Order: sequence, then structure tokens, then C-alpha cells
Amino acid sequence: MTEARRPPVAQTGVGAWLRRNLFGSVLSSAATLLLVAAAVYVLWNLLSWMIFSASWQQLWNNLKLFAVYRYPADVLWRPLSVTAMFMALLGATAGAAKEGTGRIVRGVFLQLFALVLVLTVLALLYWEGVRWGWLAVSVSAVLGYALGLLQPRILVGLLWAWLAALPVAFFLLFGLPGSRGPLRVVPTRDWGGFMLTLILSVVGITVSFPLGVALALGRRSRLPAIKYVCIAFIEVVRGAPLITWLYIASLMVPLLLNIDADRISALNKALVALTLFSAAYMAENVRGGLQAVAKGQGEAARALGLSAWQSMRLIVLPQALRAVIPAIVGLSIGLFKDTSLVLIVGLQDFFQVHNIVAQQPAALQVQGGVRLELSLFLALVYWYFAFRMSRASRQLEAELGVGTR
Amino acid sequence: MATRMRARGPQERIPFYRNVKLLGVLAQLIFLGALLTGILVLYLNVTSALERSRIPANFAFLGSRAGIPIGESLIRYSTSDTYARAILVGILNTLRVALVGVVLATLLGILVGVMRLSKNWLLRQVALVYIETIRNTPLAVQLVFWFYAVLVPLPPLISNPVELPLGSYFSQVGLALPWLYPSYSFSAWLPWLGVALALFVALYLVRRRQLRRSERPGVAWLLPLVVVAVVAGVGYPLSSRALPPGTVTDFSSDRGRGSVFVDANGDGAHSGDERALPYARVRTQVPEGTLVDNTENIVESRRRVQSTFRFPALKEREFAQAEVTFANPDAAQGLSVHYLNFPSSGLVYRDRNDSGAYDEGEERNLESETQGGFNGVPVHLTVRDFERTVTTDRTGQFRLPLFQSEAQLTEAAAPAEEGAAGGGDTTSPADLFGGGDEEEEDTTSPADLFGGGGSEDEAADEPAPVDATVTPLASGPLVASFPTVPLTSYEGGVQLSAPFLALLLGLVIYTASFIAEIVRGGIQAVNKGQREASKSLGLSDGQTFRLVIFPQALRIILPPLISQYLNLTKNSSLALLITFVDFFAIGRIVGNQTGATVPIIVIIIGGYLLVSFTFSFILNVVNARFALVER
Amino acid sequence: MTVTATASTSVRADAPHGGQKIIEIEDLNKWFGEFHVLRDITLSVNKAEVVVVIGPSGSGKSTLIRCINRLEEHQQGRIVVDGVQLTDDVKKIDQIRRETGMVFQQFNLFPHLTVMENITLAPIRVRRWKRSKAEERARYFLEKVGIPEQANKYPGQLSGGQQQRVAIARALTMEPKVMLFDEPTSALDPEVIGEVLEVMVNLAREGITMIVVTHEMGFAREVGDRVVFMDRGQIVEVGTPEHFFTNPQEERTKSFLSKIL
Repeated sequence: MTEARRPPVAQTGVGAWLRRNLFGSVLSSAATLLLVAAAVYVLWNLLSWMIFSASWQQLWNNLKLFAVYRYPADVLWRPLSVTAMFMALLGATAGAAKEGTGRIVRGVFLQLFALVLVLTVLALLYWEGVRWGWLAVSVSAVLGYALGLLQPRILVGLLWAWLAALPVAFFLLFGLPGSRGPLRVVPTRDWGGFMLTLILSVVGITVSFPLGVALALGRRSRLPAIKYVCIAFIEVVRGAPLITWLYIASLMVPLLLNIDADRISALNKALVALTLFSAAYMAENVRGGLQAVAKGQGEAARALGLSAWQSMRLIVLPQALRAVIPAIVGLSIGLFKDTSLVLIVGLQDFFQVHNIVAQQPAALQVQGGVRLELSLFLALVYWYFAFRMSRASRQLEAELGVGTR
Repeated sequence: MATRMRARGPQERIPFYRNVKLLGVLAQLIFLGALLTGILVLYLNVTSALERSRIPANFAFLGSRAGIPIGESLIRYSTSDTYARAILVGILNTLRVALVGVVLATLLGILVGVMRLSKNWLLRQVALVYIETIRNTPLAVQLVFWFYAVLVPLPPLISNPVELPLGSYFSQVGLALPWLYPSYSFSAWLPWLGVALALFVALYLVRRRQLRRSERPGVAWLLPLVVVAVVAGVGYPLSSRALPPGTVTDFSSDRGRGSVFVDANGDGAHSGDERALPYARVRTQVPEGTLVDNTENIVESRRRVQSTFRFPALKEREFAQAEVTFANPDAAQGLSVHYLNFPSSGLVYRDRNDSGAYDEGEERNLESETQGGFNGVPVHLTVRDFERTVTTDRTGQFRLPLFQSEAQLTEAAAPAEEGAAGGGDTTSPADLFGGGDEEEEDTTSPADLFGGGGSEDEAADEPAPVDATVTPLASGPLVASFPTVPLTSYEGGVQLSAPFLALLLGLVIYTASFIAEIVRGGIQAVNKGQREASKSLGLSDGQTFRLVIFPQALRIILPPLISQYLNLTKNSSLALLITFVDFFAIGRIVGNQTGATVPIIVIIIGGYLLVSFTFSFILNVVNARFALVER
Repeated sequence: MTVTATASTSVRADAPHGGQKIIEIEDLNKWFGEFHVLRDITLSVNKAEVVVVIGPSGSGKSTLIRCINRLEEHQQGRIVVDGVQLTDDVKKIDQIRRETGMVFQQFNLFPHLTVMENITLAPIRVRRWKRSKAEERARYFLEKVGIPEQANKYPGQLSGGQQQRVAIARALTMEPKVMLFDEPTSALDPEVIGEVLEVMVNLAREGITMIVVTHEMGFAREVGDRVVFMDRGQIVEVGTPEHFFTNPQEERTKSFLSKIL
């Protein structure tokens, strides 16, 4: 037997990698050089603009507007405690979750925790009003995580905690009707900024989930009346863009309920449109999951004597929903991005705040305005969250692909 | 065979609540009942609400005068047109941006998708970064970025447009490109085109049959195409007509406007019912004329520019001689002129270091309190033997820079300077966002169609205007229209406004990031074995791609690609964020203006559903055509 | 047993006299749209009898047994299982499904549940047994099909043969009066067919009533009390295995057997 020899041309090492991946051919080399030159040029100009020419003052001065809009400064502890509550919940979940999906939840938690830490440091340095609030958020995140690590059994209870957290959060943000003092009502028209963007996304996706499942089941029903009504709803809603539904909601919701336009808040109008819209898309995703479940599954369940409802609930739906988790995360990303359209109903979300800031007299005095700075900031924030979610979704997809068995 | 008869034996009675079939019917009845009750309640609510608020609930308003200004339109439109026509303008605008967007997004998407598969690591990474960045940022943010952060503040002002190849112009207002339009003799060419089309179909069918008979692969459409080109080409010169008899021009050099029309009553003037000639070529000559401007301090491309003058853009081949002089040489002692873009734009400076040329900083006026520039200095651009051939627009109109005669200048020297042509446009375009939810109904594009000066009321004893000669020219069936910038807007060519460009850019870049992934997925999904198999059969690389890889990839790519086209069309409704007037934006304006909310909602939803269903129809056809015959 | 057959009509496949009839199918007709899949099927099965249904694919054999527990709805005829007639009555349908176990070609185990959960699901939810009882019975049947050690695995972790045995145990745990097998070995690799057939042979010997649709002629010959040959929606010939494999009467039967043996 001959001995194993080294290949005649080096196929390993930095040189070989460069040759293979960057300078494989004349064309490839040219592309490489061109791209490097372009990248250097663009980055250099961007950096020098960001450091020397850009006017970041407007952004810095208006960070509160971007965060919560007109939410009163003296009760900012309320949105902060909501943040603390969710960070603690996420921390506990991350700490308690098992391997596999647990690793992904931990990743998400750590990413957010890093962000919270940065904000805490900034708050300690610069933002006097929310100093202790942000510190509390950091601390509760750590405590939650520690609790989860020490008591992994709480995982089952955490599901209920998450569900209970939503009304608690709403109560904290909205306040106690009739109360004065620290728990006084903050009307939803004063909500805004990134807080509102998150509220819209979370409520939208949470409410649209059961609706979407119902619509998907309806669409697959063998009863024609139910089936065609569901198909019609899904297709009509998906047929027109979200912005038109927001517009329609702003006009039609008062008419449909026969009340004055100002008696229903813009937040509710937006939520109606967002939920129904994403429910239609959710239904299509869930339907895909249902189709992916083999026909034999339902048959086997029925053959065992399970009722139609039992076989759907115990056999088909669990498999279908597990298969569509990544698609649902994708939908959440879409909804998160789409909340930028709620200015149509008159809400001041994160996106719309940038229009307000750009119109401030101080901003207009800057030569050429501050639109470039503001839109880069917007893009960065939206991108960070959407990109993180899509990463997590991809990990989840890989994890579930292994785990579906 | 046994008779087909019911043989269930003694039929027991089944209680209705246990009968599967009845239960199904019952469930549907209950469902429909609940649904109809719900709809009825809502319907009653709506009708009583409508009655209370007296909102019109029929479509009668469509016929009344809209009075909505729309910046750009593919068809003739003015504020005196009806609501129906305004909506039509919106529909056409949506279709235009969607159509162009689909083509460009496909090209960019394919490019990026192929880059993702490149052997070059850097190319792959760049494509990946592009996709991950664009996909994860809201389209709304990208649109406002392109419009408010890039296209509005960064390019030069319309008074100082960048000249691009082929006579195109680019500025804050947008892009103007040369374009071909059908002239008055186009109708003579139509029969030739008809014959050519018929020939193409006939020849194609013949050729295809021939190819099938000969049992060899080949291209059936090439020969017919050549024949068609020849027929249309021969017909082109033959159908060129002389100008219609009685064609005259009507030009007012004071207003810089003119029109070409057929003078039916022979009075030499353009009366209302006389037909204007759209897309007619006109040669304009001005032996000597002067343009007037004041130097200004303006913000351009986010920078402050001092002491600048901006005359309407002239090309060097359009005149024999041109020079910028000071209107008032005594007051401008020691000042010189430095051209930035000869002869139309430049600045005024004081040569402090006696270098004989302009050096940076010399445009600053150190004697003034603010140490600003030499602003408000009146300057003249005197042009000799100016000649420009322009093409009238679709209303038969054309415009020239506002040349003034020597006599007019001396007359004007006495009273105070009046606003000159060009210049002063320092404000950014109308901003849609008021900060509240009630956006202004400001639908004009940033292009200010009638900006600049040009006083319209001329007294009888005014001095003689410039001696302009305006000659209509005969032309073939098609006319090339090149854009010009006579005042503060583009004339001629095809004009793509800044909002349109921003919308297009945003949609194309956004959609392409999705298309790229579809293309990559499609190509990767074609089994590696397919390539190996076709290679082993002896097909070349090109044949392998064309005959084996591409058809299979296309089958995977097309359905999601078509749904991306639909998404692009639907996403174009975000146009109103950047003041572009598309179908949705105009619908909203009409709704707000008339209060006819219900009809307008019906129109909007109906329009988008029509588009959606058209796309799903295409999708079904494509799926049926491309579906593999599979067991 | 006598065989009366003419090519154009379905043969009556009545159970031998003297036995206790547990399944009676009379003049069963079914159409898929315009396609007449089952034509005048008459078949009865005695308690503890093993009936093997064979025939070319598309002959309606699977459809026949899927009608018995109403996975397919028939349009004409009468099906009675253990004295209960199958009608549109939900209660009757549920009753019959409880009393018939079914084993599918594709196993149809629930991939998101462990083997134990797969087996105990129906006893707990349908029979309303206590979990402890259900698990005890499940273990008993897992033992019987020879894989007691796999209880806590997921179906995806088992081989095809093991999965099919779990499926059999799952059906048996409901303690059905009849077992329906729909080509239980067709989706299996050749080397594991044996282990599944062995389980089925044992069941047959224990006196469990079975209707088996299969292509395994060895099984039919060894344990079948009667063999039913179906073609184009009709029962063409019925007989004991001995009669059937040595002395078939019908041309169609002969031609089928010559191809398969």
C-alpha cells in the first residue's frame, strides 16, 4: 500500500483559501478588487460623515419621544416595570428551558440583556429620570434568570405567567380609572414611540394566532358554508395591502359600531386592522402546517375512536403548529415592520416620531435637515430586532427539523 | 349486476343531534345565521351612522370636479377634471411604478441571487449583507430614507441640474430622460405596423410548422422578427408627412411659452377649439438675448453655497457665444465671475490673493456683518445666436428660457429688480407629515411647474421683446424629445419625479432582496445529478444551463416570483408616505375631500382585489403550464 | 365450502354456518364520484375467523375495510359490526370505531408522542381508563409484540418493523372485537416483514378476529380461514386457502395468482 501523500498544490492554508475564494479567476479577482475598493470608499465616507458632518443632537435630545412619545415623564416607572417584568419572565424561561430550544431562548435573552445593560449604563450616566428604573430592569432580568436556573420546574407555570403578564402590562401602562397619583390613567393617545410599536406587534400577533388557527381550520372544513366564508375572508384581506386596511379601519370602525369617531381610540382601530390582517396570513401559514400533516394521522386517530375534535386537538394541530413556528416568527417580523404604517390611523409609533422630530424647528435649522440621521437610526433599530428574530427563527427551524422525529 | 337500490335494511330512526349529516348542516346553519346576524347588525349600524352624518353613499360624486392638483400624470389632467379621472391618474401611476419596478426588481434580484452562488467569497458576502439588511428593515423606513434623506436633500437643485449622458438631467426634482413620442404622422405609420404584426404572426406560424416538419430544433421567431423590422423600417420614411396645412406657432417671448397648432380660422392666434399639435418639433432661434439672475446664498446637497448664480441650463452647442456680466458694473467693482458649469451656473468672488482665478473662500464677503457671500448681486447672461430644437408636450406647448432684449433690460434697470428666472428655490418639497394624523392634501410633487419669474401682465408700451424665430419642423412618425430646463422645471422628454424615483428605488431594492433568495433557492434546488447527467450526455455548459438547469429552476422560481410581483404592486401603496400620488393616495384624498368613505373604500378594495386576482390567475396558468407530470 | 361464481357478478362471501357472526356486510356499493369502487359486496366474518383479502391494486380491497370503520362512507348496503349497524348516527359510528382496531400500511404513529403515549392516548381519552391501567395494558401488549423496551422512545427513533408492531399494540390495547389490517407489510423493508407477520400469526392463533388486506400469500396460506379475491370492486372468488391456491376456479383468479406466485 502506498503512503498518503500531500496534494501537489497546497489546498489548505490562507493562501489556498484566498486563491479559491477571492482570486479564482481573472473575473473573480477583478470583482474582488472592485468590491474592496467600493467598500473602503463607502465605509470611509459613511464613517467620516457620521463622525464629522452628521448632526446627532436632534436624535439625542428626542430619545424619550422615540421611546415612549408623550407618556408622562413622572410615571415612566410604569413602562419600565413592564419591561422589567418581561425581562424577568424571559430570563426565567431562558434559565429553565431545556437544551435545544432552550439554547435559542437563552441566546435571545442574552442579546436583549446586553441591550438593557447598555441602556442602563446610559441611563446612569445621562438620563436622570429613569436611572433607577433601568437599573431595576437589569436587576430583575438577572434575578429572573437565576430563578429559572435554580428552579427549572417553574417552566410549566411560566406559560401561564406569560399569558397573565399581558393584562398586567396593559393595566400598568393604562392605569387605574378614577385614580389620581402614580396610577392615574394615561390615555392611549399619549402612548407612542418604540413602546407602541412593541405593543402593536405583540398584541397583534397574540390575538391573531387563535383567529388564524380558527380560520385555517374553517378553510379546511368539509362544510361548504364555513369553508367558503373563511376562504373569502382570507383572500379578500390578503388581496389588499395593510395600509388600505388601516385606512378603512380608521373610517369604518366608528361607522360599523355606530359611534362617534373620537369615542374609539386610534390604538383600537389600528389593532383591529393589524389583527385581522395578520390573522389572514396566519391562517395561510397554519393551513400549510395542516397540509404538511399526513392524512393518515387523522385517520389513525379516528380509527382509534377519537372524536373529530379530539383528533384535531390532540393529533393534527400539535404537529401542524410545531411545523409552522418558524413561519409564525416570520409573520411576527413582518408585523413588527408593518406597524410602521399605523400613522395612517393617527398613531405616533416609532416610525412616525421621526417625522415629528424632523419637523421640529431645531431640526429644520440644520442645513438639509436631519432626515438622513433619523432614518439611519430608525433603520438600525428596526433592523436589529427583525434580524435577531429572523436569526432565532432560523435556529428554531434547524432545531425543530432535528426534533420533530 | 345487482340493481342499484337502497338495501340498508330496516332503517332505524336516528335522533337529529346524532346524525352526522344533519349535524353538518346544522353547524353550517348556525354559523351562517350568526354571520348574517353580525353582518345585519353592522349594516344597520353603518346605515344609521351614515344617515346621521350625511355621508354620501353612492358613486355620483365621481362625475363632479375634483380640483385636486396632481404632480405627475400619464394622461392629460388638470384640476378641472373629475374625480373619476383623478382616480384614473392614480391607477395609471400605480401601474407605471409597478411595471417598471417589476422589471428592475427582477434584474437586480437575479443579479444578487447569482452573486449569492458565486465562487467568490466576497461577492457572496456582499449579496448576503444586502439581503439581510434590506429584508429586515421596514419598507416605509427605506422609502423615507430614499426620498427625504437622499433624493430631496442630496442631489443639486433644479436650478443647477447634473447633465447625464444622452441629454438626461438629474436634480432634486427628479430625473428627466429623452423619450420617443408618436408625432402627427404616426397615424400614417400605423397601417405599416399592423401589416408587420400580421406578417409576424403568419410567418411565425409557418416557420414553426416548417421546423416541426423538418424535425430539427431551431428558433421560430428570429426570421419573422427580421422581416417585421424590415417592413416597419421601410414604412417609416414612407409615412413621414409634411406638417398639416395651416400649422403655425404662437410664441410669447415675454412668457417664454409657445404652442404649435393648426390655424383653422386663419387669424394667426390660437383660439380655443383649434387643435394643438402634441409632440411636434420646433426650432427656436434667438439672435441675441439676456437672462437675468441675482446671486444667492442657498443650501444645496446639505451644504451652504454662497454667492451663486443659476441661469437656466444651456448646452454649449446651443449658442455661438455666451457670457455672464454684472448688471451693474459700478456696484460690482472688484468682483469676478467664476463658472461652475459654463455658462449657466457659477459664483461671484473677489480675487483677494490676486491669483487671477477663483480660490476657495473668495466667495465670502468679509466686509459684510455676517461674513456671508456676495448675495443679491444682479448678473446677466448674454447669449448670441441661440438655437434650440424642442418638442412640444402632449398639450402642444413648449417653453424656452426667459430671454430679454436690450430694450427690456434698460427699461427694467429703472424700477427695482424683479425676480429673475431660476435661482431661489431653497425650500425642500412639501412635507406630508404634519405630526398629527390629518395630513395636508398636498399632492403636488416637488416639481414646481410654474416657478420662477416671468411677469404676465405686459403694458402696451412695453419695450420690444427679444426677436425670437420659432419654426415648426416636419418629422417622421416618431419624435425624439430631449429634456430641457427652461426655468425651474423639466420640459420635454420623460420626467421621473423625485417621489417616483424614491418609490421605484425603494420597491426595487426591497423586492429584489426577496427575489434574490427565490432565484438562489431555485437554482440550488435543481439536483446536482441533473448537471452531471446532462454533461455525461455530451451537452455543452451552455446547453446544460439552457435546456436542463434553467427550465427546472424556472419551474421552482416562477410561482414565488409572481407573488413577489404582486407584493411589489401592493407595496406601492406606501407611496403616500413620500407624496407620490398613486391609486391609494388619490383614493384617500378623494375620500377625505368628498366624505364619500364607503364608495371610496369599495373602489380601493375592489381595485386591489382585481390586481390580486389577476395575479393569482396568472399564477394558476403558470403552475398549470409548468407542473411536472408526476405520479 | 362451495364456490359459486360467475364472472360478471360479485360472489357472496358468507361466513360458515354455526359461527357467531361479528361482521355482516350486505350488498355494499360505493362510488368515488362516477367510479364504482365497490359493487354489491356481501361478506360476513365469524368470531375468531381470519379473512384474508387479496387482489390487484385498485380492486377496492382497502376501500372495503376502510368502509367497515367508516373512514370511507358507503352509499348503499348494510354494514353491521357486532350487532351495531353503521349509519349516519354519530353514536353508532363511535361505538364501531371503538370496537374495531386498524393497522395501516404507513403505520400512522403519532410522531409527536412517545410510544407509550401513542398507545395510551385512545384508552385514556375514549375508553376513559385511568392512566395506570392504560399503561399497564400498553406494557402487556408491547411485550406481546416483542418490544417492551421501546416504550419511552419516539416513533421516529424506531425501525419500520418496530413502528408497525407499535401500531399493532396501539390497536390491540383498545381491546377491539375486530382487527383490520390494511396492507400492514407493504411499506416495510423485506428483512423486517417477518417480524410483523410473526406477530400477526400469533394474534390469529389466539383467536382474534381479523380481516387482512395483504399481498403476503404465505401468510394467507398459513393462517387464513378464508381467502377473498377481489377484482374491479367485486368479490370474484372465495375459498379456503387450500382450495384457493391449489384449485382456483375463476380465470381472473388464476391469472392473478400466476403473476404473483
